[in-house]
Amino acid sequence: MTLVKIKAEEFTGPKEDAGKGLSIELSPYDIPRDVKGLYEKESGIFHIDFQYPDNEEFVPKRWNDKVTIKSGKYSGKILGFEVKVDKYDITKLALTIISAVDKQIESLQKFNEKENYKLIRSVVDKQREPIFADLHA
Amino acid sequence: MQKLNKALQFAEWGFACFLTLITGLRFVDPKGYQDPIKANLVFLQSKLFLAVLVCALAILLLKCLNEFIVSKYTVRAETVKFVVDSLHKKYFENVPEEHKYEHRVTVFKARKKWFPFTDCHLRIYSRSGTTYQKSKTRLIIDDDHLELNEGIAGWAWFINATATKMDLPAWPNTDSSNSISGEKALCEQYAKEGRIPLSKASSLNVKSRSVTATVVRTSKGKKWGVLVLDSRDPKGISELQEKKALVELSADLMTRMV
Repeated sequence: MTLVKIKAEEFTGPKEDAGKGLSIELSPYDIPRDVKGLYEKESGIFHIDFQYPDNEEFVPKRWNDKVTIKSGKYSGKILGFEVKVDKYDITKLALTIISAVDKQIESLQKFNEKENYKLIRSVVDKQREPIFADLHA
Repeated sequence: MQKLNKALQFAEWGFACFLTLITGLRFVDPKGYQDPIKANLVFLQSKLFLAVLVCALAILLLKCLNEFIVSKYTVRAETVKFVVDSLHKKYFENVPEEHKYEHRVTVFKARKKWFPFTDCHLRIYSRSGTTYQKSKTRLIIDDDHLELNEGIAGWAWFINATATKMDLPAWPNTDSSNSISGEKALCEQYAKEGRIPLSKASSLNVKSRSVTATVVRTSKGKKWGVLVLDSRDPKGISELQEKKALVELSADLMTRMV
């Protein structure tokens, strides 16, 4: 298992201008503090879990045969992923997740969900090597 | 909650006094009294065991209620107040003491819709300092319609995130209903930019010029309320990362309490 600390300022964008001097930004509850990567050889599933300040339960959202998104029960934020590993190719796995997240973002309506998905996408993209390090352990 | 705590204590003392009185009733001879006292004495003496039992159980119940439920809520409210005061002290530490009252920290708690004709709204749960602690300010919230949410706090509730508004126009010194057109326009602009109905804006005790609001959630991730910092200074809300971190830390602490 690997544990990667997340520096929020590297992944959160500037405040969003909602017009007339009103700025909005993601709540700290939707910014993960660290991310765990764990590969289960028996099942061939790679688990990615994000740690947040709260302990929200998740609802599994099956995206396709390969990716299941663990979505927050109340906030809708991404709590983790379950990815089926076919090849030990980190780039391919990361891209599978990124593509699933990208597709989901389009349909999201709520501000916090949308921004959280963007942040998670960025974390998976930029931290793919340490997150998937357990794959080659 | 403190009032309920006191009321329950009084009720408990009442039952304790009554218990003492009815225990002593067995030594009183009803023959020495006229009706209706005589009839009541005879009735109570015939049901003495039941009366003592009911009193004792009532005392026990009130004590448990106070100890395990009301006291818990009182302690929780006191702890939140401590966090709110500490945040106010640290966040506005550079503000001269005589101007501290112009900046506030308030925690609003969301109240559910109990009846079809009522609204979900935010009500003050705890506020820094000592002024306007019992303010009746209520901000309507709605999870489905953005336009129904009142104030920057309502906006933060709807988007389930943090909202900041700076440079709100100054509210004229006159009442909006009596003011001249220029002043009335300013009042309307204030209400529009503050996302609050004009009548509600007029009734506010303090017309803040800058506000930041962040949603407070329970440890299970459910929305609970909104933490609001407001100031009469149009630039009273800081953009500094360390100040934002203070607000985030306070919201995080509240999550562990509520």
